[in-house]
Amino acid sequence: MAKYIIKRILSAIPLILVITMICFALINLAPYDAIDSMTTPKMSPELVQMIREKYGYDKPVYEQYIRWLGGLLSGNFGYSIATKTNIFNELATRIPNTICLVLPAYLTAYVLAIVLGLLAGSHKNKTLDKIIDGCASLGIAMPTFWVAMLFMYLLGHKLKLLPTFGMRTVGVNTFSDLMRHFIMPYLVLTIAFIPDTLRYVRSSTITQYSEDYVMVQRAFGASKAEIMFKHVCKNVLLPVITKLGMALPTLVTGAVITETVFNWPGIGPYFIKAIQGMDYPIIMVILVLSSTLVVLGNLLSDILYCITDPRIRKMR
Amino acid sequence: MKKSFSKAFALFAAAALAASSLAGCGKDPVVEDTTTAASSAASTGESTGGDSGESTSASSGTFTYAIGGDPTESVNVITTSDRWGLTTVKMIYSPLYMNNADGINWFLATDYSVSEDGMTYTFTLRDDVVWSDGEPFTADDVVFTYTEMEQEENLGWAYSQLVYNEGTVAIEKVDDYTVSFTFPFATPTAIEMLSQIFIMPEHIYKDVEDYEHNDYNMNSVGTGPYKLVEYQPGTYLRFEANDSYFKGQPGIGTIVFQIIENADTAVMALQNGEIDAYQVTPTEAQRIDLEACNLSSYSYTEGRVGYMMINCNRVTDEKVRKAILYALDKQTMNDAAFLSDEYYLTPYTFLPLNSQFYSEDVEKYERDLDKTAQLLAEAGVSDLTLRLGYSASDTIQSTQALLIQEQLQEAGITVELVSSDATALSTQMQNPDNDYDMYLGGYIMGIDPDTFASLFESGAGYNYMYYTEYSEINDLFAQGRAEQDMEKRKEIYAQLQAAIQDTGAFYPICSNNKILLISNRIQGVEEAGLVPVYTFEDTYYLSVAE
Repeated sequence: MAKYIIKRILSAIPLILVITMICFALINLAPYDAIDSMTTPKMSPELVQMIREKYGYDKPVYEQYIRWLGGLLSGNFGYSIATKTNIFNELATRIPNTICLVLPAYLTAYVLAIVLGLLAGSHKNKTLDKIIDGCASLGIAMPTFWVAMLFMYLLGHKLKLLPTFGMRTVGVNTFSDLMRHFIMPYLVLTIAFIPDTLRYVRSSTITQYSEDYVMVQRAFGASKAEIMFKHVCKNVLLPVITKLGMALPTLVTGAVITETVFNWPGIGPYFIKAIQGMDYPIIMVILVLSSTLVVLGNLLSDILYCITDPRIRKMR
Repeated sequence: MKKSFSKAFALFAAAALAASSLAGCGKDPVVEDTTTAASSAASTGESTGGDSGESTSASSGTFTYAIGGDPTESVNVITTSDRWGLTTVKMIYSPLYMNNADGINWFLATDYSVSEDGMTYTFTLRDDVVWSDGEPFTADDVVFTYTEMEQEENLGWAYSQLVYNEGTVAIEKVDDYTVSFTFPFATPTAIEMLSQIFIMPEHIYKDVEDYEHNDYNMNSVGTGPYKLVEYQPGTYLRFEANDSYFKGQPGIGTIVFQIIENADTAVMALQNGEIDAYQVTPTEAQRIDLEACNLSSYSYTEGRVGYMMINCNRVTDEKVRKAILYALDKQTMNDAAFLSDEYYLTPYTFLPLNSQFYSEDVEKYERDLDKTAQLLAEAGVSDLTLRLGYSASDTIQSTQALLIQEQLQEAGITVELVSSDATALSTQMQNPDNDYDMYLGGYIMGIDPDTFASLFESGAGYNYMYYTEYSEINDLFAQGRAEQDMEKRKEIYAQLQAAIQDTGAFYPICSNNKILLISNRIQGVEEAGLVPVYTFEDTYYLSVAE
């Protein structure tokens, strides 16, 4: 098992390298760079040239890439070009904020989606299924930022129950204050995360119910609950576990829009700002981070699969 | 057995992960809670204690101003040049003086004199200023700041205002409270070039090599009305009144700059009373019920000019350019874009209307379709098709672009609208061979007309019209630069404004105002003064009504 994991991690390294190369090349294809977005007619062209040289923009692309990669490998995430801040420090304060919003929301959504998906799948084409499936379709169709604004308007503005933005009230650092700020983005994210898994669970439940073994169980007179929990559930949940591993990158980039709307001081607003300003050191670090998590997430789901499914374990 | 163990382990791991993340949220605040509570209690105790004798001048209350970007921890007086960074600098530090369209407003200096050759400017400094750590402020701090600004490796924002091809501005300490600046040539723009530079404490920064990354930026010692006491990246900056400010005790105890990058969120928070002030667009201002939300609206000019420029590399015939301009109606465009005439002024030349050099004695290109037809016939042009570039994210420009298309259509000219990212567009405009015939844009330059030379001289770095045949323009800029007499300069710049209009390449459309919505709780906005970039000229004058 350990050997397998190490092999998988090693084979991921060239993959991540290729991803960084593609990202770097794409950013360089953009019609302008970070210096352009800072330049104003008040700066003399000489000053602009000096700034450009300071950040190495006068060098060819591959040299810039090697310089950047060297920095990253030596643990130096570099500095933002637009704001000059240390990217590592910024990420270190922002990632925990994002995780403590996304993780609870994802886990809630995950549990709800499984329960509702099983319910809908086992009541195929009945009213309950139609309601659940309809709501899921609606959930997919509604853009997150719109749901977020709707919540803000209703709970924050009309009913004045909750604060509309931020993570904490200035100067108030209590847990209850954090919770009041937490509720709205948490609900919005939960709503955003549910439909995908729900529809997956529903359709695989339906597939399982049409399998022969269910008919055999029915023939032997097994109760509905018995079929559901002893047989169907096991088979449905196996692939769902894979989804859990795949969701790992969501922890970092899963709430970009929601965070921006609610002004949650996580990765979202930081990433969006960096993209708008073509601040490539930040964009690259976040991309490397999330692509690494994609690779690790895949690995994690393979391992979870191995642990839970004896058939796969025996195959190795 | 083994199977159930692994399952239990996987479950346990997931639960532990969830628990630790939740604990992560909960744990910090408890720790922070005690320290901030203690420090805020200490500071309130301090300020009330200090003022117990004179009840009139106590700072009190909190003012929360939502700003649209994070000034970040790299804020310093040398390199910071963005709007919110400078707004933050303005809270903590003071300049010698501010030079805005309404003239000079003195801060650390009290007046100045000019030598007879017009090259040396001598400033008298206040002798009663102390830094917020108690050290006295002297001419050494001024010499230190300006000298650091002139160092090439510091990449200071005012570098090109102090260092010229002809030489560097020499800074000299005459005595502890007098400083002189000697320019390498006589220039009428000296007062503007030396203005708005904030003075940093030499005793703090003397060994700093990198102004963007050091231990002092966020523990700032300044001479401004407020002290920065807390910074939460991406969230807020908290300032407290500087008891030793040289004008006296500021009116408000705590000012918070709440960072909200999403405009819809900020508008919602403003209506809810969660924040006290925010800069809005005309559409947002129209949507908010000011009375119900207990807000007041202030609109002030930043001297911005929004324009349409014609690319002379592609539209080479002056007659065709003029034909285009005679088909346009800027009044209709402004009515549609700004909704109310409080929010804009209509300029007819390249200077903003609040400039004392502004002259309307120019060709205004009032709409006249007959003239358009005549000019096009003279030029022998028919079936004209033009590409107009504009920024897609700018709603004002989008409105203007649509109306330009419609108005030119009436004159038989077809306009192809090409929307683009604002920065991408301006980068393309910098290329003389770009494939736009016209573009929309805007600029905020200085108070003195000479600062516009980089946009309008032929061959200048930011002249996107690319005209070459008008040598008169460069001559007039040169004359204005060399002339010291105010009346003569006005005459020269009146001619210059007319000359630029006569190229038919430049069409000023609007001079839009900034709109600040501010809670009626906050008093003294007029006294504090609304100025370009910094919002308030001096937050010292603001106070909170009970």
